[in-house]
Amino acid sequence: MKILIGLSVLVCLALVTSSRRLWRLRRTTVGTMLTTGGWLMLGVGFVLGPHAGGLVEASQVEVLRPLVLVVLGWVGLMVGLGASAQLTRYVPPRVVGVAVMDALLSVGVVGAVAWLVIDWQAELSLGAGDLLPTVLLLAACAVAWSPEIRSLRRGCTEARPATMVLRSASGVGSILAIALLGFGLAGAAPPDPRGALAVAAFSLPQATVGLGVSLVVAVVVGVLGQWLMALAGRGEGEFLVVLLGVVSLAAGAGAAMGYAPILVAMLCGAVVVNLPGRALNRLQQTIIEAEQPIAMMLMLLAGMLLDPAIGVSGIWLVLVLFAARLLVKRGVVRRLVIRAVAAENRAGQRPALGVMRQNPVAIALATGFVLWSPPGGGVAAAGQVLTVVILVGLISDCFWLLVPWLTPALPVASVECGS
Amino acid sequence: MSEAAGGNKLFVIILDHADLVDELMTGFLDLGVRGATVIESRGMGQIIRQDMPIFAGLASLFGEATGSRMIFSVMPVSLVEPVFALVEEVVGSLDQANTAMCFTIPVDQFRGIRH
Repeated sequence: MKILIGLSVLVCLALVTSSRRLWRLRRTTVGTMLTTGGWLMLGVGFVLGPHAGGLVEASQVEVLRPLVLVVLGWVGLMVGLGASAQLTRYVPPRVVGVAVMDALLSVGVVGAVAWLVIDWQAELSLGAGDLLPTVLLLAACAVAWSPEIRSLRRGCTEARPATMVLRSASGVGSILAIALLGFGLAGAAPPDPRGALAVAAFSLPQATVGLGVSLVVAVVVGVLGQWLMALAGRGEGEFLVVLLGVVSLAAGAGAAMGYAPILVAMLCGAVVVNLPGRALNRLQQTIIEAEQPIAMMLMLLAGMLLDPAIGVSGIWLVLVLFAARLLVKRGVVRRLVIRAVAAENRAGQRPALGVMRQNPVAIALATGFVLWSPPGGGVAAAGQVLTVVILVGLISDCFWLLVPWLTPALPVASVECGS
Repeated sequence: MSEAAGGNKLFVIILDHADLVDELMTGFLDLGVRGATVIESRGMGQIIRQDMPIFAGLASLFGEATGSRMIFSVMPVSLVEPVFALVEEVVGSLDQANTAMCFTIPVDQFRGIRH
């Protein structure tokens, strides 16, 4: 009966979201943020999950693991497709510089703050076991921002300096975030659900070996995948089956070896995009066209996997992390973005505030963290970390809605995106 | 130098699979089509999707990888049906979704140098 109710809810949701009337709502500011932030599906997943509606019980959550792997693999592949050798044609060096500076500042400041807060709050059960993986995750989640900027600009067309800078720097940042977390988790031990919070040693040789093995697997899967996609010909069904196979193989191999599945998939995407072949265009088109359904599925799964029992300590952590984000993004990164916009500085000010929004890849990383943690107590703790990441993202998006009132000195009507 | 307009049509192809452009151009030459213009384009669905990227903000900037192609060619009426047949041979049945769209427009006047 529960399964029937759950399926009915999902079917109704699918019908509503594919309705043309909803297209209009999705193009409003709030509608765009709900869609690209995934908050709607996150809410549905939470309602269906074991901590609210109970339609999916806690014991059944483990069954979702393979589906989570496929979704993470798809997301990783999508992000990896941006790592093309032709990147320099589209993304100037100053934009890459913005992304790198953002990554360094975000990891440094947010990571340090997370470390201090979690270590200080001894009773915090977040990431029970080892401190390092949790801090690495929270730091990686702070890198970059949402590439969606439609809700930020006013009356500007797409190909404007501020638009290009924000989207391209966000893409580069996503690659850095996944690489950072994958490398870090490869060198750290998985959390021990039995032990108290302790600092785990980070092994650089172990991390390097992990990265190397992930790259080798990615190359093998990438080459194999391209060959199979060429064999699939023009058949849509065959192509999709091959693509799902590539995604599952990349992510599954990563998970089986104890590495971050999203990292292996991203490296696979980076390999595929740089291999010559006619199947590439079709792959990119298919991958990107499926972006929104995959994102919806990811948010649905994240909603089911999150554990809301974070307590007062967890709320403190959320607020402190948000404050650290505010300091880094609004204080420093925003100025870097404005400087990187080739047009008059004033033209980039309002869109540059979009750097406050959390990158949707953060939810993918945190969901993968739940998989990476051992089952049992580790999953509950990882579910709380996922909740922290989600709450930080939610507050960041709500902050964006308050910007017109928080920055009255900025004459919005006179700001354009530059020519 | 103006050309007698009576027997010409503007043949327009909107091709979803950009990798098939080469094959089409080869077929054009085989049929005797003397010129064509290819431009990168994006459909309404692509614009709406790219307007709200979630994960693929960077990859979707590479237009040549994610966009479609529009091919324009002015040709004699006698070549129109063979070109329709060529398009179906290259992309598959035009009744299937996400393959290509083709249409012709009568040309009233044509001026320019033909190679």
